[in-house]
Amino acid sequence: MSNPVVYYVSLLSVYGAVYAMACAGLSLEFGITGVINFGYIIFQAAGAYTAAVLTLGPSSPSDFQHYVGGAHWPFPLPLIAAAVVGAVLSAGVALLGIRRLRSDYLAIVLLVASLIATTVATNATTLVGGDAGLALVPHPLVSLFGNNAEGVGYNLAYAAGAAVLAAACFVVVHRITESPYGRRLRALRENEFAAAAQGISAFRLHLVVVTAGGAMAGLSGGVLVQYISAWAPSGWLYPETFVFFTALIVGGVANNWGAILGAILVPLGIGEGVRYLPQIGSATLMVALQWIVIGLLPLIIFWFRPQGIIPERRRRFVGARVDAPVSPDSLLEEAELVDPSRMEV
Amino acid sequence: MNASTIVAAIGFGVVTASILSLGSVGFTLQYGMSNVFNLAFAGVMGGAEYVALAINHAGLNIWPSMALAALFGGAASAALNKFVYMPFIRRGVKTFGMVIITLSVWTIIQYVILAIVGATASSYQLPSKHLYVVGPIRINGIQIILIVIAVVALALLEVFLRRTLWGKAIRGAATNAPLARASGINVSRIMDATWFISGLFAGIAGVALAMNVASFTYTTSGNFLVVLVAAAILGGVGRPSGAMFGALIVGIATEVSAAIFNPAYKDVTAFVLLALVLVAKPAGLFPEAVQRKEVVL
Amino acid sequence: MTLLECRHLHKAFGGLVAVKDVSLRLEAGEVLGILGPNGAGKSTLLNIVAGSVRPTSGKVLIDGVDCTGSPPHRIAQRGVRRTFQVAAVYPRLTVMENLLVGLPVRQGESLVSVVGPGRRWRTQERADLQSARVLLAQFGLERKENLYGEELSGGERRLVEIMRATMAPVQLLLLDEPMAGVNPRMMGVIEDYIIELASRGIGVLMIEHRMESVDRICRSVMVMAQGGVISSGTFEDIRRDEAVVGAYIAG
Repeated sequence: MSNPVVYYVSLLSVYGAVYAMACAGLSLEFGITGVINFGYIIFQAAGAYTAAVLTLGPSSPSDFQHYVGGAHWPFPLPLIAAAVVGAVLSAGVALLGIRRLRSDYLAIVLLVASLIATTVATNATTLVGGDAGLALVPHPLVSLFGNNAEGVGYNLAYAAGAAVLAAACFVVVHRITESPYGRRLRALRENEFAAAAQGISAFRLHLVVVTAGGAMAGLSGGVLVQYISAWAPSGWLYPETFVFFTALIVGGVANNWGAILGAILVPLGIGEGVRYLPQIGSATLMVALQWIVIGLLPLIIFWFRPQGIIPERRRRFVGARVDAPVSPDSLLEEAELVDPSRMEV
Repeated sequence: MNASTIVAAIGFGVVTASILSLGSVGFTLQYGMSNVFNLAFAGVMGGAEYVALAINHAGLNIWPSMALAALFGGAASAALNKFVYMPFIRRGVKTFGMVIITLSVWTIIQYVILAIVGATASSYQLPSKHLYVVGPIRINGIQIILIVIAVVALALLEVFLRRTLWGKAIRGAATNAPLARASGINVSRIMDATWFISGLFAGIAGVALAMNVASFTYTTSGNFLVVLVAAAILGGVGRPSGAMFGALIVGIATEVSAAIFNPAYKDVTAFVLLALVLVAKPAGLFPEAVQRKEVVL
Repeated sequence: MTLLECRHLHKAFGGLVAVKDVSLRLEAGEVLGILGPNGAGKSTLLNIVAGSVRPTSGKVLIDGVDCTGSPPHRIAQRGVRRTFQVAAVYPRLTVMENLLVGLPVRQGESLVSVVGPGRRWRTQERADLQSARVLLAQFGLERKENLYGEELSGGERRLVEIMRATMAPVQLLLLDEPMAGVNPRMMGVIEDYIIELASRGIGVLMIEHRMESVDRICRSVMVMAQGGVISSGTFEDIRRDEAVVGAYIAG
């Protein structure tokens, strides 16, 4: 017998973990490296589709849904494939576009790409199941829980697993960011020309970062689709990318905790929070209001607190006090006292 | 599929291209002036569509409604720049931040429209359309007028930009604002004027777009962004004359591809063209001045 | 082996000729000043050497190797570093991070090694920190180590930019108006540093307007006007050259 509260909590947790994973990838691309990937949702959708198709099995003409590919791969292969597909697609985009295009140029081209992707997915009925999408995607590892996908045990376990994956993504992003490699990424974000003048290859680093981000996007899509059992183009429309960007901007750009906070506040908070508000007018109006709020958030943040709720940390190194006489040439208004904090690198 | 289908498609393509050129020229003017890709352009188009709808359903003929909607577009665009974009730029928001801001504004406009109008489709009250048949080309009176409007508006713009003092000031300020300022040009006023003019184009394009389809919704102008961006980039952003050619190419190509392949993939054709251009000649087919990297103040 | 050689460099932007048939040679340990009125093509010349502008014709040879048309990061990997007209410190990186980023990529700094277990780079980084601090102390900025680039004054940014350029093993330094916006007291410090770098065998190509600095540190000087070289030699030589005087009044 399923427990509705447990089910709802685990649903929220899975969604939260999925959003957090996606935000981790985007944080790496956008927050750390400054790549404005407005097509990010495409990679999540592709990962989800991959995981769905690789568990649904090949479609036969008599099926009610049609799609390309199909297999019955066991866990965790579909998820791995989802990540790989996300990574490869992302890399492809990087190869085509990043080298040649200025950041905002690239941004709108990618936005346009995600607009197209929606059209293609909705119309390619034989390719990706068309407008209706795919349904009845099997859950992974259900046999361990007595084949009861609705039970408390399975749901909690799934939520825990999703959380673990999300945490793993953040650990990866953290290690990258707090290393010399991450420092170079941030330099790219700050000033690509100065970075090139130091021998830092923007193209190569962008390629790596976008691939890693794409992998996380794909993975998050796979995790989601195997939980909710369905995949429809309407869940991966171009405004969804905007939601993720808003999440990062609100939570705090270039900061892992900010990304998690943003993932919880914006897609989860606003998306799910709407259920609890009294309904004013029609359902359409509620949807519109939701989006208006999401649209307003970046404006508000950029105006009042551009660094986001949890700003990027100032990185200090251990032993920051040098035993040397102070040169008379230095301008000495009282500089901030440097505390010999623990090495944070 | 035979030659006459293609020719018919070219006919449609010219209509599409006319509407598209109005949009892409306006879009590229804004980019040329402020170095910002204003995604909210689609929002202004959408707003103008519904302003015209309100006026039209209140009893006014579609053409004066379009004119009034154009004025709305001009005023809205100028206000958007003056009261939203410029303040953020002055606050130090950089190029990539500005794209997000324009995306935010567009989202807000789009969903405000949804909130007010709802999701159902609307259409204008048009005078009866007389259908003209020239060989395989089928075109109605409304579409002919749209083409004429586009041609006239674009010609006027070209004359304005090249011959008049204001026009030259606009071109000067767009290429090199500090120099323009030093020469005594009131850059801020020029900027307002440019945004107003480009907003006029947004208004006309929006209404024209809505007139050319059976019915429109709050997403119609947004979906138009695909071909709009494709045409603008193809022609070389910042360059109105390039945008016109871009529109012609994209307009005809998408219609022809719709005749040959699946009509639902019209936008995909535009995108493929865009991708090809970006790979081969990122500055567009008619590149002009060097692309500046910082937002103009 | 000549450190830097430019042969008949020519650059036209559309109809506008920015650099006209410019040739030069720079040896290791030499400081060559490039003077000229605004718009003379000096920065374009520097950009061509640095790889950010591709010449319409001509060759750039570094250490005898043809580097014409190489992208900036490849040129930088040959031991070339440059500064910009507006000091390009990274705004949201601290001074120390700015300096550390200047270090070249070492072994074990690939993405995989960073993500995986073990932090081999930490040991190296501790050593790098020490050298960076010594450098900071030399310029009196040791207490500003944790300030963001954007929190520095103009002169301080210039100092950090130059320091950052020398954190890596450099053989050729391209400086674009290093004295611009710098506190007069610090100018002497920068001049001393450039002289010291040259004495270590680093070649320096320097665009500069401040004649006292040029006089003090440049062994030879090249004057440009309207894209071409109108005079070259020692500072004394060009000062007396009438063409130079004329160019400055006209330009």
